[in-house]
Amino acid sequence: MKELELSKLKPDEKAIIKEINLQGKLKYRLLELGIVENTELKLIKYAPLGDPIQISIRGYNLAMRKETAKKIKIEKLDEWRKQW
Amino acid sequence: MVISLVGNQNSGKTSIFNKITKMNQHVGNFPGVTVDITVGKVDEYNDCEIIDLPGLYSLSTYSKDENVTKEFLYKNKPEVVINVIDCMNLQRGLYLTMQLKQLGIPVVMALNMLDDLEKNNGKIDINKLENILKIPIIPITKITDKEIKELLKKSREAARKQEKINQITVKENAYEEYKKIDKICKEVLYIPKNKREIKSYKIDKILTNKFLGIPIFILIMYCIFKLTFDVIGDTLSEILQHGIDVVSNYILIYLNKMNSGIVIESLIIDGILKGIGAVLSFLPIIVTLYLCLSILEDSGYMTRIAFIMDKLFKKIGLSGRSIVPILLGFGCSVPAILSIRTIESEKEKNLALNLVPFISCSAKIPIYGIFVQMFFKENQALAMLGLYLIGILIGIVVTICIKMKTNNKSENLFLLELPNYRMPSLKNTWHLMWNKISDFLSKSFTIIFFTSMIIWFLKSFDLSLCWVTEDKSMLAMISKKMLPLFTPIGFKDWKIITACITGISAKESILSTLTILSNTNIESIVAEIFTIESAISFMIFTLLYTPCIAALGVIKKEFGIKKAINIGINQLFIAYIISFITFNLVTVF
Repeated sequence: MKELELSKLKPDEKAIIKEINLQGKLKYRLLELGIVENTELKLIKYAPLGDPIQISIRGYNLAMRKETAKKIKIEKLDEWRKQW
Repeated sequence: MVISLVGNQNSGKTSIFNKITKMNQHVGNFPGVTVDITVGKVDEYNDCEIIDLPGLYSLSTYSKDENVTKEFLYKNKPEVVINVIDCMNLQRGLYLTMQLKQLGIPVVMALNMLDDLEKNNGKIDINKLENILKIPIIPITKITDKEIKELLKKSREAARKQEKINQITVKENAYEEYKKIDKICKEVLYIPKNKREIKSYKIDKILTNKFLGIPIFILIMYCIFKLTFDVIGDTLSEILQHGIDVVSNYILIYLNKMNSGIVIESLIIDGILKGIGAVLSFLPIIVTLYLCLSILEDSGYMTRIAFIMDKLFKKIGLSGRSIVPILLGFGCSVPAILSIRTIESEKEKNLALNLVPFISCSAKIPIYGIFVQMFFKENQALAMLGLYLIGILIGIVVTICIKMKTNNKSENLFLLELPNYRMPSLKNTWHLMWNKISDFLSKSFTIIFFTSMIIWFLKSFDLSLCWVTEDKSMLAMISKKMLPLFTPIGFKDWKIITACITGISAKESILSTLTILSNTNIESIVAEIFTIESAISFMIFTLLYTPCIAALGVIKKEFGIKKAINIGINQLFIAYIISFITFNLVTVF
């Protein structure tokens, strides 16, 4: 099962967070917002200019830049389910 | 007894605060806390003070200096904390609750927005949650009197004097914490589907649509500016100005009767009333603009603007978060600069601070109005637009220069919650607006008052402190001395210099100074001392030069005296250069 970058996800696709390759302030911000490993999320849409992205996670919506999303490794949910 | 309210942003904290205090609140100063914090009184309990702390997600913030709430809790040790939680956002809310519990201060939870949960056919087992968390939980639906009474009663029961507060260290245990929270939520909470979220998605299909998003944003901004500067603001400003004139006249008549003498008369009319009138007369423009912006904020659209525009802002080192200060800047730099504190990244703060003063504030509109009317009869609107664009353009260039000077890559901290849309409530909007207006009034009023007095003094007396006409005053003397410096940019009359000097106290006084100095109406003096070339140069100079004392005062308060002086001098320099270039270009062609 290959891990993808969050920035590669398409609108309406669901995924599970596998790894967060960030450091410092931004990482702590993500963690305290509940963006931690094994959390389910859904990509809602891309902004009109293609960046940032809007995700739905833990019942709320969050915008983050693609450069941040690139550092978050995910597994698409449908494929993840097939494994089991 | 001190009770403080703590919760996530958008948890409904401020609504509860307003209900408890019945709007009986003021801004308080606290030891060790740099930012103003709102304090309220409770009717039933005289010994109680309620404090509304800025919303946050976590106490273990990475950089300690910026967290007002945390700072307050540690330094002021409130007897009890009311933790406001949106039950539709329980997981994230509980993360903060867990940390609050670790502090050692008694925590009482106000479980808010239960009516929302009900509407979505969701369920929450409050007793179970109470047992797991071991803190009292008060269910809140529509923030009724009864609920508030219960909340206050439980909080007072739980309150306890604090000796010491446990430190929360920055740990990377968020994963474990959230695992626990997930388990709790699974046990107590059931939400089938959030209808408001689905509705928000539908609205966003249009408002943040790939093709429509940006045109709609531009249209909304256009309507707001039209409404503010054309329809409402302008009309109200004229009425108010008229009212001030009437009052001045009455006072003048009264003073004449009293035989108060020319010095007192001039002090009251030219010194005090002119200063107050200047602030008041353009207050309607600010009120209208802020009303519109507050509606955008309360409805949730402001965050969508940030979402839409982030990519463009990124190019100059800013982020979508800078949109609020920039929009406010069109009204008045004072609240705009104050709102910069909501930006998280220090680098972005600095860039936004340098950009905001270049955005032409509403106080400068009357100046452009007169000049455009006299020198650009055919293309008034175009000339106005041109001025605004020049301001923004120069601001962007300066921002890029500063970004390149400070070199290293811009810090990316852009994470923005997009709350579900809601109908803006009258109460919330009013509250948001009032906060901004009172910021503006309290910060600018005193300063404008004092500087008006100083200017009045300088233009009424000469060096030997004799009462003289304006053209022999200290101010005239200074202006005449400085005149050679300004001839290269086309200023050929000392009165222009005087106007620019008084303009630093408040831009509104530029026109009034010209009028006072000439004893005729504004049109004839402008026609007398300006040519079209120098008029263009003058408009650009007023657009760009040093911000008013009120704005500088706020910069000093928020960022230190060095920064304020720095910005003041920088802008003077840039204004001079640009005016010089345009004046010479226009003269040549």
